[in-house]
Amino acid sequence: MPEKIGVFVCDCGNNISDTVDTKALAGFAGGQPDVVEVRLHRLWCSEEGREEMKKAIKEKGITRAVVAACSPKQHEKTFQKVLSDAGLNPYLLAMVNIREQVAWVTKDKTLATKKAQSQLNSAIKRVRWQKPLEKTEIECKKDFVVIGAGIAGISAALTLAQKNRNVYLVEREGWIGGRVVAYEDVFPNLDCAPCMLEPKMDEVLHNERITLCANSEVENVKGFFGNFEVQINKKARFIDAEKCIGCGACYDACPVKVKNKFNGNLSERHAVYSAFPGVLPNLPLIDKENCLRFKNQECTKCQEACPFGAVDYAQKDEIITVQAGAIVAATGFDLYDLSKHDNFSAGLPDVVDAYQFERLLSSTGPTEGKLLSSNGKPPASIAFVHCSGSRDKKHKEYCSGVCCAYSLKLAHLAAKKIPGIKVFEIISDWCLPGRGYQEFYNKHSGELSKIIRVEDVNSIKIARGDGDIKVDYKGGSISAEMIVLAPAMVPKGDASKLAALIGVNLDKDGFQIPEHEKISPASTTTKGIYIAGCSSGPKDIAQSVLQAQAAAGSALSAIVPGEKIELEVATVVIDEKLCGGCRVCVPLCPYQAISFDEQKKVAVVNEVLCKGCGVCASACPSGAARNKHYTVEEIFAEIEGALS
Amino acid sequence: MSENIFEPKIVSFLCNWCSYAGADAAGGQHKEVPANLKVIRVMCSGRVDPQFVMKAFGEGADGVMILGCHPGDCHYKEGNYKALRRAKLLEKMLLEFGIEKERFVFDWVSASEGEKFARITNDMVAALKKLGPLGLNEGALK
Repeated sequence: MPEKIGVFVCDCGNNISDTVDTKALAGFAGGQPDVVEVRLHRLWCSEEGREEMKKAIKEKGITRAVVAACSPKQHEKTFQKVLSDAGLNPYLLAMVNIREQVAWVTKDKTLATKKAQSQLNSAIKRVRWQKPLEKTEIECKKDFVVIGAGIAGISAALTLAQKNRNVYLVEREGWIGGRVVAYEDVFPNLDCAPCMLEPKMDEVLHNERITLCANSEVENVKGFFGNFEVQINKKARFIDAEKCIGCGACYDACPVKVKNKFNGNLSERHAVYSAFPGVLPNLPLIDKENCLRFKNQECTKCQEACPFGAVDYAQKDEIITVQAGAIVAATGFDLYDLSKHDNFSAGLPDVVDAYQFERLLSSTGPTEGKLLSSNGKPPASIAFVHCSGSRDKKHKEYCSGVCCAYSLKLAHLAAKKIPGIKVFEIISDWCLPGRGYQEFYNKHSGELSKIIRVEDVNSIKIARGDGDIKVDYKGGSISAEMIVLAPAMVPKGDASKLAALIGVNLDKDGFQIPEHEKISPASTTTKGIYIAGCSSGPKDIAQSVLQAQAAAGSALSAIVPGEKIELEVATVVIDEKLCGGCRVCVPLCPYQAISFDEQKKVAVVNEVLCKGCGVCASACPSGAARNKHYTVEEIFAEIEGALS
Repeated sequence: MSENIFEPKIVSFLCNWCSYAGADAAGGQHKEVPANLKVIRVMCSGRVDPQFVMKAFGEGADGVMILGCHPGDCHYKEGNYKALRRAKLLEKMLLEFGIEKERFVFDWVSASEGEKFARITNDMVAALKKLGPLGLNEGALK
């Protein structure tokens, strides 16, 4: 049965008809094969216009509709709805953009009309190839997984833990609080960081909608938006959480001593340990790497010391699988390894990085907050070296954006602790963009003994002599008893492993890339995967929390309990009769939507993941991959229409 | 009067998210875009199959244009890079067919670049006017 094509030409007030002879256009349409109805209207998108279009489709039994009007970006959805209301599949509509791309860009009416006619011809030829397409919906899981329990992960988890939602918060370390819990006072208001964090951490531990998996790793992620399946390895702590009260009686019984990484390796801990006093959850763990029992030696000292029988050497890692609608990845940062830096003598005594210095200032740190150099005495002078391994193409090209601020803060805190101390800041520029940042500088820069401005911080030379540490720079030198380096913030060393699991792209420095740097900063190009905090680039605390809450809010609005998720309609399907099994399409898909069926030896598209870009269809040598709504036949018809 | 003036026919493939929006922006700014241009909208420049380009030349186009999102802006992550890769190969192949490089343009136009869209389409028309119809050149080669 031949198609009955209806053509609807719009004057758009006079936006179109001023430049395009719409009557002539309608006349042309009337002469085309299978066009059974042509109507002209002042404004098809108006209520009255839409009503008339709907009536015409019904009364004339129209099977395909062409609307020559404005840009499809403006009203394609409007007219698709009219088709639906008239009982016609909305994908049997073709729009011709004769306003933005003809009337408004052409001066000559004859040329404009001719161009409009040619574009209309394409649409009339195309529309007969179009197929009815149906929207598909899938059920979604209402729960979430958050990876990383630093300030960003905690903020995301608390925002996500709404009524009827469960959040699995996965943390690699045995405790929560990330970097911020290690700091004493934070910039610029000098709020006490642990005090600021404590209520949030407490809520994480006591909110029954949040399941904390500390000392755990995400092992695998399968599935897609709305239906992720996340495998979590809850590693054995060898401590029975039900029995342990966190008294710490086991620590000192342990004969093993190793460096405590949490204190920047400036102190030691045992193999059974908590990283710092006040750790949450208040549960020690046995570090398998160093515990004698796991080195085939008989030692039960911690077990003997425990008054509650909580030490359990037989505990095993436990793999759990949870279902989640969306995932937030907030895995934090490390500091750039300055041992790669030739000039800084990093790692020698009293040449510390900013994190180590934070721990030296902290009341829970290696010196319980007494600022001491390696000889046990308070230093008489400290030099803060900005941009260490930053803003330098040999190391990290970017600016981490927080180091100027915290170096000023650290100098202020040092001056407060040790009256009369000399503090130097070695800088090339000041970067103080946040609220209250410049004001902090104005208020406290007077406490600095000297600001040494050099052209390139990374070319200064730091060398340890017998007593002082000497800093040579172009045009001078100073001596100081302690050096505090401000290294670039870098992503975690294994960030790429998680990125591959969750389908997130990383930039050249290894930071997660958002869907859009400015307008979608918390989502990613993989639907249902959100990012927050410093794993997606250096940030201060406020920015990390902002991004985390944005990620959580986006996830909450994308996944609504009881509501289904609408999938992309114009996806690609692979005709298994035509597929030759060459697999050219498999790696081309940016969404990992194509897999290879080893039994049938054909490629298969997961339509839930497919976004319909058509990259695979244009590479398929056998024409097996068909991009719905943009098929070869449809596009060929458009080409023929445009050139006939 | 205009009978003797050659007006080239150009088929342009525009990605939905950036370049098609850029062409709309040219309209919003009332820039002049040559009427020689026929626009075909695809979701991604990566959808443009080389056979679409060949088909357009075969049907009588004097020039073909593919416009995509700028690098890093692709709505589908990297479809534009794939399109670029194909375009580079296609360019070489077209030369083998005697289709001059001016007849095939691959470029980036963002959603805000109405001005650029108008400029490069006008430039292409000017270049093709100089070059003359594709069919004539083919005939001349025989």
